Amino acid sequence: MGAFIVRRLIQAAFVVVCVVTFVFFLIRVSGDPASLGVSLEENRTQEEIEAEYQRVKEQLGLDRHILIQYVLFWGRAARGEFGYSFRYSIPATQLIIDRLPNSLRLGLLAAAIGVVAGLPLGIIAALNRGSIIDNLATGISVFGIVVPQFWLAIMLIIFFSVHLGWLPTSGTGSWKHIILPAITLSTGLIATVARISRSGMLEALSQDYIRTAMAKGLSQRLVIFRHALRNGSLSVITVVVSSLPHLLGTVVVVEVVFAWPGVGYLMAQAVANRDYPVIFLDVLLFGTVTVLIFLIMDLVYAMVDPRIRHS
Amino acid sequence: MNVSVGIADAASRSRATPRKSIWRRIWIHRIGIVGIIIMLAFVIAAVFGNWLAPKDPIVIDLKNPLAKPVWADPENGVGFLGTDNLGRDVLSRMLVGSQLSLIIAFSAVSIGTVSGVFLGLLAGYKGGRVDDVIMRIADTQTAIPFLVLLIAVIAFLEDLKLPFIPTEHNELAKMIVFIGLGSWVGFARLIRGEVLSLRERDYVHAARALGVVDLRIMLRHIMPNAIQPAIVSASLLFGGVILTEAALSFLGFGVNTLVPTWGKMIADSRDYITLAWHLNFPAVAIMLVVLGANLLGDWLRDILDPRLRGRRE
Repeated sequence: MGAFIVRRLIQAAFVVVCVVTFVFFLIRVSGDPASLGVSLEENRTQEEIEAEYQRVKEQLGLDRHILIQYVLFWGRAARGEFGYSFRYSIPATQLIIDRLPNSLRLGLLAAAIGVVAGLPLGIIAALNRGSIIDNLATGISVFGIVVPQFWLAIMLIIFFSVHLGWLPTSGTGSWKHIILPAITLSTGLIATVARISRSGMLEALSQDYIRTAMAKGLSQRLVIFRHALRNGSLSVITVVVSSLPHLLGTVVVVEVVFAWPGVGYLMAQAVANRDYPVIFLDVLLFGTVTVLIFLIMDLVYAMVDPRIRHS
Repeated sequence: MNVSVGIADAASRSRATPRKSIWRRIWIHRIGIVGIIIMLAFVIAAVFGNWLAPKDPIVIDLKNPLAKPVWADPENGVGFLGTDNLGRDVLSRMLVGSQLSLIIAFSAVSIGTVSGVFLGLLAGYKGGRVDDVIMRIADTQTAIPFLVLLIAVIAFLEDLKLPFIPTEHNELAKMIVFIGLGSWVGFARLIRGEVLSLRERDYVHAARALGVVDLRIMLRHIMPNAIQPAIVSASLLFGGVILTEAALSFLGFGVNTLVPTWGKMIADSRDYITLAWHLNFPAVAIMLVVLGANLLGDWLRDILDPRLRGRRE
């Protein structure tokens, strides 16, 4: 087990390094970050602007060879220095740390809704296979897959905020603000969880041990929750965890629609403003979180299933 | 369960010729036919959109902004699906815009499939160092959520000019290439898995012993046996690309054209949707096409995968 953890940790760290390298070189080919750091006020001479441009370039280390820049970059990164946001003039790290809790809250709530709504939907559908309830559940999960999320968000705002006036349209403040973004974000997950738990339940119900349990005279509820659900839960967990990266991508869209001040909204704004340090850190954050999710998933699996850690 | 019916059913199944059973399978998964019909309608709309459009999609009519469809409002309605905020005919714009949606989805899926299948073949067949490099690149790309990666790449490579592409199509071509190259990983993983089990088969060893070159073994002998899951995936990806393009358009990274894609139409009309419900038709169209692509994918999986044959009968 120890060897497996070490091997898997090294692999995860390597992927993060690759992500950093990729984004670093992407930024360097994208144009000239130094030109964005120069103020272009009206009453300045060409020489003054030139001088400041050179100064900014030296400050950012852009006058050196790209490989030296790369090495220096790692030196700064090791000290946690990722530069200042061009727009807000505060360290990009600080900006991300300020926004992260909002996104975490939204993401965790959406994941919870996805499981809490999707699981019963799938189970009820499986228990009433072929009935109206089953078709309805299938319909809901199909809708969750095919709907463009930003459009759904607009519809929810129109219905719940404009017509009914129950919930705020956007922003943060009270607990009411998080409801619509979380629901929008969870639709895809509800659909996936419902589909997987339905097929998992159907498979479990056809197994011999379920028939045995039924034959023993155990109540249907006990059989479903104790025996069938428990055996199907691993595949549901797999699906939830492996769809989290997709959820992270959707976060950007949902946060923009609802003006939710998280890292996704920050990312969209930073791209619009060409705020390179912030974009860089944001991509790095998304990448690291994804790698961590997969790392944890693999470690948990290895603990549960000895075949994995010896393969 | 009625036992006699079960026996009769089994007897008729054993008599069925393979050819017959294909039609039987197609009929059993008739929901897939709905998918095929939707996709056909989409392709016809896209190919013949310019002729089918009742009006010029870019002509502005400021006397009739946000007019309802004629069937909803016989007195003041304009056009079959109404008009947008500048009085342009929604149906015509959707028909002509579908062309762009189809081009983006089809080309991006093709790029993703071809590059993914080829790299998957290479990784699985060559193994060793080649496999390591390709799969580590795949890991890196998977680590960044797809939409985040696309936004970052589109932003950073804003000034990139693709070779051989006329300037007016550069933006569109870049969108296609980015989405396409962003989706190779799934295909590569699928194909690699298949190839790993195929490359030690006797017929592959035989081909190698006969001196067939690697490229030919990969493309002629291994690929046909490994390609089926990729076909299913490509169909599912088609819907995914349409949704991705819509999301990018909404975030302001869409392609600017005279007649926009469906995704950009929704994004452009979001301020007027409360005033005119008929501006939701592009969203309905997107959902239908994504549904069609998914149904088609499921259908293909059922038809192509022999392990699933007969399971639902």
